[in-house]
Amino acid sequence: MKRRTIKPILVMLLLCLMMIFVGSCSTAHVEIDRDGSGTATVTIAKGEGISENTIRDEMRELFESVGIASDGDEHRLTMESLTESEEYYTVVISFKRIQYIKGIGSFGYQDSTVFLEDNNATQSLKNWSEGNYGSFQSYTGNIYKFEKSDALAFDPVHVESGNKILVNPTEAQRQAGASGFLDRDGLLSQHKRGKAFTFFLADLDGLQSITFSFKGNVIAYGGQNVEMVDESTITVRPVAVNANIKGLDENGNPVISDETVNCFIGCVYFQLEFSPVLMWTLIIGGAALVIFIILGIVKGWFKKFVHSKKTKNFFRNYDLYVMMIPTIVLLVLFMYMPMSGVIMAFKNYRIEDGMFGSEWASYGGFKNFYDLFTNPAVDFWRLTGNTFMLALLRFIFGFVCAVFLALLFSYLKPGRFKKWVQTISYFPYFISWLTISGIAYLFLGSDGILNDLVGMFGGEAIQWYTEPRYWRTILTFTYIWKTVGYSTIVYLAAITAINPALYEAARIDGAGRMGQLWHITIPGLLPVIGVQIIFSLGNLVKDDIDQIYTMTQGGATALRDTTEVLGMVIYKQRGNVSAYSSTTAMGLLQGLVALVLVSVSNKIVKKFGVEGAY
Amino acid sequence: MVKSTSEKAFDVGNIIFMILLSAMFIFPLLMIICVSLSSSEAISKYGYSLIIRGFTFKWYQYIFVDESVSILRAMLNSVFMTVTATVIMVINVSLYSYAVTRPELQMRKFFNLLLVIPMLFAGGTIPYYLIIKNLGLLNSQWAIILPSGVNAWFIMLAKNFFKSLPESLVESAKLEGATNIQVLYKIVVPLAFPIIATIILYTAVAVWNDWFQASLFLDSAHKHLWPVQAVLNELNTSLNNTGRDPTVSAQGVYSAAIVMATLPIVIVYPFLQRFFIGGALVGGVKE
Repeated sequence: MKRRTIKPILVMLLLCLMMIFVGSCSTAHVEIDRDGSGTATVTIAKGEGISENTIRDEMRELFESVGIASDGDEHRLTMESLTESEEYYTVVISFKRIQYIKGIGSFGYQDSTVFLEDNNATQSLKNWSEGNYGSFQSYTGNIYKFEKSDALAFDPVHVESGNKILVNPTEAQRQAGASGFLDRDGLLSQHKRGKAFTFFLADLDGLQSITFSFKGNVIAYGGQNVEMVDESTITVRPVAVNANIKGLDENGNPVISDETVNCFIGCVYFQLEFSPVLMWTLIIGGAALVIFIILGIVKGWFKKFVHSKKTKNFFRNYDLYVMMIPTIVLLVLFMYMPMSGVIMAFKNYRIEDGMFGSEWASYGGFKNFYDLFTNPAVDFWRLTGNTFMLALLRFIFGFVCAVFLALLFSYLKPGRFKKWVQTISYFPYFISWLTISGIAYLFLGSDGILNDLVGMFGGEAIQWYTEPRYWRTILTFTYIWKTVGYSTIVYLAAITAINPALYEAARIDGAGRMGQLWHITIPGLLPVIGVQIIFSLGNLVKDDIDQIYTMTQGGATALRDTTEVLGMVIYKQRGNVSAYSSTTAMGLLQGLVALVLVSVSNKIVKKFGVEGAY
Repeated sequence: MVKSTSEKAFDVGNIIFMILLSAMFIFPLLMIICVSLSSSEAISKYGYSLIIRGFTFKWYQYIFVDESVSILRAMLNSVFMTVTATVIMVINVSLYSYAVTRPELQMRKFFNLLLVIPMLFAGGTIPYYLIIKNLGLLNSQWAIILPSGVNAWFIMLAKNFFKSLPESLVESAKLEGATNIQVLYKIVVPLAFPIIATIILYTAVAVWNDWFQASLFLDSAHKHLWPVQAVLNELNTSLNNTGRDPTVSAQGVYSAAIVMATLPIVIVYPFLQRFFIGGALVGGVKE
């Protein structure tokens, strides 16, 4: 057998394929379900060197390399069973959506409307029907380049009430108005609920035929050695095609050769049958509704309902319900609909399948979460650690400084000075983090004020924007700078609310300022402090990327060791569609922990006798 | 009342501390103004300071004239978005809070729950982005305005305030034939003005200061729609980048843009003061 291989493991894989498909006569029967997933039953004639164990081992390795080729999803192919009869081994393989399987061929499985809009898909099919198969990369890494040949061209066949009609019109027919197979307003566009299936498998020697059966009636098909068996099944036999193969030998050197390889190539267009589950649901539901209405009219249920007090009340005050509509619409659109989007965390999101149509992730949908915890590239624990650490620092220092400042404010004599100081200290709360970032740059830039100071004391200038270790302090400090004045308002109000008679009594008892502070002010503040602490518990897992992203000048990578938080990764990956599922999983975990913290803290607050937030 | 010496010393110390504190809040802001008016030669020679050296309007000219930044257009965008979102917010909040506090409303528990759930849990950035995209709002200012026009917290605040108003006010107006809308806008809203003003303040500040949503939904091919903070965001991320036009100081341009973006807040701040103190008390739970 003359064949170039890349690496030893691939030699084994090829041997496996050879044994299954070469060493014996084998056939495959592939059943494709509505969404493109399905099962393949491969029948392998018994022969020398083929045993249950070799098939099992080799299948496992085949699955693994197909998995790697197909976006690293190792569960794309699964072996369901392996049975032995007198002459054959029968392997049943279940596969997830066939259009995403890579390595053993290229498949397309699309809605007809999407297919006709997809220029790549229609162009490659046009090329095939002209005998121009282009190139193909197998899971071994070999690149097969096929020469264009008229002998390889095929005409699609249209099936109409049992008759098979060639539909690829010649140029003359086209000018006379006949529409082509792939024209936007052509044959395919007339079948709106159709599916287009294309397949191109190369270099599977020994495989004698593949049978594809679909959930629906075939309307058109085309390809080399493609035959229709019954209205929803086609059989494909291999065609020998000359190919120029680029591969690597055992030492990793490139090898090029010309060979004849066996290919399976073709396309099928079929009308998807109406889902039986949906059909029966509709029939039963409809019947139940009709029975309910008839019974209701006969027995007078509706009369009771229409004349009930509640219904009358509803119609009398209909304007109240109308008043709620704008808010409800906005809440549903921008709050509730995104909530339903967390389903993406349990799926492998693909843009072409959409939020709800994408495949479920492996491990019962929890693959993305599993990856978060185990994949070192995600570095989930560092992100969580940073998120928590920054939130904790903000929480502790923000709160201590606010109480301290509120106490100092309370010792100022009421008057113009106090008012001015307060007014000034509240102001930073209202300016944006981007403004503060610009201000911080005056201090932290390489010729900034801090470095001037460092230089004055004879120190070496510090490159603040590349030194992650300072940034916990910087972020905490700037947070306090922005919010401390404003946060004092709550505590000041609590201090003002303390009964002045208490201070009077304490003074008479000879208590000094410290005594009054300890025995009156602080005890008076405690309930407010407690409530504030508990209410901010939920913030411990939240990351203020408004601050962190802007202060680090767009999430500078040099500072990621201490400043990269969950929200930042999610934000930065917003353009990376293939990461949507995992970043959604990240956000969902964060949201759930916050939910638990908020609910618990709310319960605690209610226990304290304070009215909760909800 | 006679103060002891130590108390006097404390008071003096406290005043000195307050002066220093005020300086800490004000000086950085003043410094930005100075930098925005200083030439880059003066800055590289003397460093940042509170003294304007080499006075120039170059950076303001740059942000107003240069096409890639055009701060004027961005400010107009910001004004439009802020005003629209605030108007929508006030309408939504007053209508919903009024309806949900009326005793004749049925399913009140359900309508309350509708508010509570979004306060507890959100779908996250990516699902939110995709929903906006599916709604066809990508690269439209409405992607920021509409979501900013509803807030469950504010409805809760207003609802609690509306509930505290005497029911007899509404009842007597209704007896005289006033509709719900008339009662709301002639009686309830004027009485609830402090809380409405607080909500206006928070909404306006939040929309004006928002860069996050703007950067999510308005890409750089639609710079003419950018609010002023999105422009700031772009300047901010390129602050440390070298390789720009050497005659243009990134710091000077950014400072000038900051001054322009913060100016409106400085102007309205004195008038809004009396509202946000009340707002901080009722809204204290939010932060």
